[in-house]
Amino acid sequence: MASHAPADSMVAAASPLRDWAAGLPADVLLAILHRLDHIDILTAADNVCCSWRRAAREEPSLWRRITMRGHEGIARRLNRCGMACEAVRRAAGQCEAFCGEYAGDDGFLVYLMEQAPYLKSLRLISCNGVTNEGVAEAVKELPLLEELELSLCENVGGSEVFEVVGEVCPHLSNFRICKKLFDVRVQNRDNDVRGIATMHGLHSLQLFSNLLTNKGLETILDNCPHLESLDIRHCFNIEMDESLLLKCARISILRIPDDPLDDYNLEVQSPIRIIPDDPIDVPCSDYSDYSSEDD
Amino acid sequence: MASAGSGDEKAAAAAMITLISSDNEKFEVTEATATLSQTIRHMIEDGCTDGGVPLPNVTSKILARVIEYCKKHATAAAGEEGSSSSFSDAAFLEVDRAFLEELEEFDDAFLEVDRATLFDLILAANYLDIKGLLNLTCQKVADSVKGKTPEQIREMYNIVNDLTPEEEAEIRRETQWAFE
Repeated sequence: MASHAPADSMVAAASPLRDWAAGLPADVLLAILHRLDHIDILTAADNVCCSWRRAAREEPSLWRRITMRGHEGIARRLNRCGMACEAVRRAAGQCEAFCGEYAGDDGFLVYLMEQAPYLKSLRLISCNGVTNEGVAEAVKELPLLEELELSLCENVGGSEVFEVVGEVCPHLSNFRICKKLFDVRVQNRDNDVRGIATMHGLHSLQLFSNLLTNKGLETILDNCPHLESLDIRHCFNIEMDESLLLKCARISILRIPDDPLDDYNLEVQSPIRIIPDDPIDVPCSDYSDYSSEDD
Repeated sequence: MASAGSGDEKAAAAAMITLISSDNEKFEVTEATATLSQTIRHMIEDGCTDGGVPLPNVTSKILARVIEYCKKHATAAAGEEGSSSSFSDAAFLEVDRAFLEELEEFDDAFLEVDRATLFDLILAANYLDIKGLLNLTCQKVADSVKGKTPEQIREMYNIVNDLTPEEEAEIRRETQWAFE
């Protein structure tokens, strides 16, 4: 009956100073840390005091879903790959999601595949130290992957690596590759298509600034029967003609090449959509490597 | 909505609960407001609210703020239920959106407090198990910490550096890899 009786000893002391270290219950401190980017935890929260340090280190659940976003400036200042490894280590084998911007290279991927066998989501953004070989090796050890993003990673692309992904990740349902620049002059337009077409379980596909053509997209649509979300913004080699629209009729969320970018938050360069026939009219800095190859 | 159960529901919604702060101030609130707190909800379910609910961990100053939050959000919860069950046309979505915006403004204004009050609100939200309020206040702290150095955080929150020399040494080793 008296279980809720007031206990004088529990009355908060009238001290004007609050103890933001030991005075916070451990789960509250954890709830605060859960709302930080993991870069902030590793570089700051970790080193504030004993209580904060304990919260940041001794709770693997804090590291189950790792997010390390950031800009190039931070990337230059910090050893982000080392930090990414430390973050994965703290998850103690429980890491399920890793999202790193300027935060991964092939060495990190080797560590990740050894330490995070239950990984379901891998998002690498602007990780130029990651190569096709690194990705192909890593995904072989990450069979539970459901989400894979390889955006603005300049050294990753092409059907060969995507075919490996399609083969070894049967649960993959969400795939994203975004590029900075659409350039109509680049050949080999359907370079990624054959590989993506092996990811038969895809529900969601984002190809931003990809060079693929109508034919390529049709191949993907034919081979990915579960696709319900498709984002092909800035894929200006695609013309949304009647037959393609018909093929896309089953897609419930469709973003077409000219759709607005208001909800897109990665870096974009202004696309090169037409081959200029008079090089003199061309602003020289952007087109210094222009060669008059024909389509 | 004239089913047999709705009479009871109405009675329950109108039922008043008395909350008693640590400094013995009494607050009358509706059950709908009070049950945003899972702790109080459980007390009501256990039938231990007769004669008021003593909250020995919460001062009247903080309890008044917590009740202000719960009142606003209880109205929001009621509004949401009503609109989703009976209306879904554009006009009502518009009303919903306006209401959500108003709620966001309320939350922002609610968080305009000094650090000591924020701390007390966090402890109260934790003790009373009010999820929304705990999320809101923890987010406020997290936002203030983002991008700061350990020194800045200690200064901001009056935290004493009680790391041992061994831990300091460990950090120095780590920061060598962190800051190439």
